[in-house]
Amino acid sequence: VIGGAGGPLDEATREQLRRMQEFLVRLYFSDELQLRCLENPVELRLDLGIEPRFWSVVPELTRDGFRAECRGRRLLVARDIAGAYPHTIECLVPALAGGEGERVAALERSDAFTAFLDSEYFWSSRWSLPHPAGLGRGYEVIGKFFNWTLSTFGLREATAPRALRERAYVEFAGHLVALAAYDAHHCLGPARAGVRFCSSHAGRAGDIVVDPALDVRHYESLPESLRALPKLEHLLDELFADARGVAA
Amino acid sequence: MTRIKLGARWDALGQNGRFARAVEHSLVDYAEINVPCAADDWSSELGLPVLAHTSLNPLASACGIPEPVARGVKALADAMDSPWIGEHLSWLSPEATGALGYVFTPFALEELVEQAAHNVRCLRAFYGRPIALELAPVYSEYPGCSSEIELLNDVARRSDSGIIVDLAHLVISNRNLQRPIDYGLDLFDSSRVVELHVAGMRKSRDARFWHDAHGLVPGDDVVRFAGELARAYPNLKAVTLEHSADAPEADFFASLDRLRAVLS
Repeated sequence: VIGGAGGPLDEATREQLRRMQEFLVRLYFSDELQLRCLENPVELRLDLGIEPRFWSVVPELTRDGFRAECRGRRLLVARDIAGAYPHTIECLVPALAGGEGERVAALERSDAFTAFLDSEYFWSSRWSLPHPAGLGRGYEVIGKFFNWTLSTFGLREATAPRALRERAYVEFAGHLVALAAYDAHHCLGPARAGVRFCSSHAGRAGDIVVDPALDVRHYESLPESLRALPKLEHLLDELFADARGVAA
Repeated sequence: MTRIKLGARWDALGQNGRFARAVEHSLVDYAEINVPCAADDWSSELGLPVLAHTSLNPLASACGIPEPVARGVKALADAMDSPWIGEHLSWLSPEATGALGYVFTPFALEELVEQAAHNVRCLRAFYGRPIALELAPVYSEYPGCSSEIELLNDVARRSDSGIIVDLAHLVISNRNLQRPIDYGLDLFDSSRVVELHVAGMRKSRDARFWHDAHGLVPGDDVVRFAGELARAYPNLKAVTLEHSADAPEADFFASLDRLRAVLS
């Protein structure tokens, strides 16, 4: 880390700044936090351990400008997710239709999207994919959204909704394979050759392969030549081992 | 030849063709490369000087600045001998690393100014070259001081940094806050301004608010201000057009032509 500690501020003041940073950044995305801040700001401030003089810079949440900025920020996240998961979101947002703009706006307004933004999957870098240029985690939302979907809808269980599971796996696998092609730091390397996964956890299932050209192929019995491809769920276990460990 | 150089932002391989043609017609003097990007894809054979720029260092973060991004920026700046490095005065996320989309302009309490100035001083020492600071557009009245410009001036002064005036961001902020369109042009610490950014903007479909739009050409006000400030800021050295790789090439050339005309 460059900077941070070692400057003219004492640790207690820096901790106040850190808490304000966390609170204000979250405020732009979280309906839940905005509601608490509007209904009982003093209680919220005390819960967060923030001193009154720092609280003086909290924006007025009912002002048009603040609302517009929140919406713009949510739309940017929604646009990334709609771009990577065009079919998955059809299972999550009722009657999703229209062009790209309408679909992004509908996703942004949806309960599912709000629940994602209020979850730790959105907030914590641990649930994001490592950046292919070696910057570390937390610079993308595609992996975070997949992990949220996986957990929220129990996609690793035998009872997982089949259509949602298949769409989410196929679209995430495509993203992973495409990203691995630019992976200069070998975090995602094994996915470069493509990935495979079972089409369902329930009973007898075939396999689905996403290859390096991002073609999706379904197999009732996987050919020998493709059995060496990495399994998506093994990759997930490796990529998010730390996050799962902390969550557990 | 004017003392002020005209350049353009470069993000991706797809822009190399238009940069080559712009060099052929003497429309650009340098490229501003944004990190992280595939800098290896940049057409170094064009021989253009390079300015390094990033929006991925949270200069105002109480947690400090994660080293991996800074390392990438330093590597580019060293390889290209960038005369300064452009940075955003911002938070990026609620935690020590990562970015949740577009940069967040921090609040302006004395303690935050001190922390940001400390971070910038440390970053400058790490880079071993000057830093120039830029603001994002704002959407709400700025709590803690008279305007976001005061915050920028304060941090720049305490960290001995340059300033990048992003004219599109400033006009967007002025429209959003219903300030006069030229508000702030005389408020920046003029001796510290080394670079201007020029870009397009768009209005919300369903609200009165404006947003950055690099796919559009810069508006008349922004281009006119660039010409005026070229004469008003004594240490201004560079004017950078920010124009998306997927926007029409003809717009890119026309915008450079207009800027060249007002700067000459």
